[in-house]
Amino acid sequence: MKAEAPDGALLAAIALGGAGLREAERALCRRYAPRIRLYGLRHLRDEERARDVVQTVLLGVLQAAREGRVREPEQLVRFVLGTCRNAVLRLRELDRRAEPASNEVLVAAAGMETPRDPVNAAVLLRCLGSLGDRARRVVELSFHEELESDEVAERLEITRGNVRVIRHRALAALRACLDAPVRERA
Amino acid sequence: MSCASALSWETLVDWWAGDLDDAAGSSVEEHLLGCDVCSGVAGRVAATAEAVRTMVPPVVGPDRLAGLVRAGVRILENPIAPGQINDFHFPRNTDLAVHVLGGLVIPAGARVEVTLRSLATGNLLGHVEDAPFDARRGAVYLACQRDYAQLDHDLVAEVRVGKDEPATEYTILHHF
Repeated sequence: MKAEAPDGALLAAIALGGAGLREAERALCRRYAPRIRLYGLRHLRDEERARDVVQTVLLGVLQAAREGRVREPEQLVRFVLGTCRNAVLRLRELDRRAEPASNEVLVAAAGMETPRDPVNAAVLLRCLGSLGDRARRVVELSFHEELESDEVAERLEITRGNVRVIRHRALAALRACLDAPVRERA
Repeated sequence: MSCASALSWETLVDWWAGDLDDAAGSSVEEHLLGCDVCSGVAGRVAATAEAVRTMVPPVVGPDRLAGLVRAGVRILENPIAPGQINDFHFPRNTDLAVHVLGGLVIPAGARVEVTLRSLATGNLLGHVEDAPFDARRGAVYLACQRDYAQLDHDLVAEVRVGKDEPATEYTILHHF
């Protein structure tokens, strides 16, 4: 079973069991793990908990595939999405019960956690500095202070639509700067 | 590998920022879970936004500093008086050096501006318009990371409390 085999072939091999089972399961996990991590990170904003979502969802998906409850590729994506939602809800519920010492601790820990693709702090600072003042503020307020668009708009005295347009362009410029070879950075 | 109905960068940024309604958000998520091409682009959006979310900015407030201490970050404070030229060696066993720019009188609710310039060239290295501060201690905290070895080592920090007031200067000569 090749890693690039379509979802339908992987699901069939898993449901069938036998010699190809493990390889098909590995291929399915390799394909879906990064996508599930992205979902988890988007909703939980925490790398560790995003990894928990990946594990929970993949276990559920493999179990369903082995039992033949998921056979069609379209069905698989919807099943993964539903399982992702449930996993995120469960983790949020656990967080509420755990009652962490304070949000500040979590924010601080998040601030120093090792990102998946660590960005050099000096490069990030330089790239943020290469954005215009307003674009940099929109990026910082949106993604560092995690304000909603309406709040960013109010803070900078611009419209919500402007915030979105500035954010689209600024994040693209920031990505290009981070990806650029050193001599090309502003 | 291709995608017949690729999601735009704009849609993915809106999704990551939480600017889509529930139906549109679900539709994006369903597409991303089934599409390698678009989830790859979404990964670039996420990595960029996450780099900003998790950064420690060059000027931090007392609450953030206390949070970093509680989170186990190894911090060394380096107090500097107004007008002082400070020779600073970044220690090996330190994650974050905090230059405590002290000797300031900062009323609660004041607007504090911090400007960082290269000592050698006078070039602007950074500017924070509404900087956090510690009014009780009369100080602004400059957070210095080891990665900053790539930037100009010698800098002048100008702190202005109130728009029309003169700036207080601190000179820091870094050795990484």
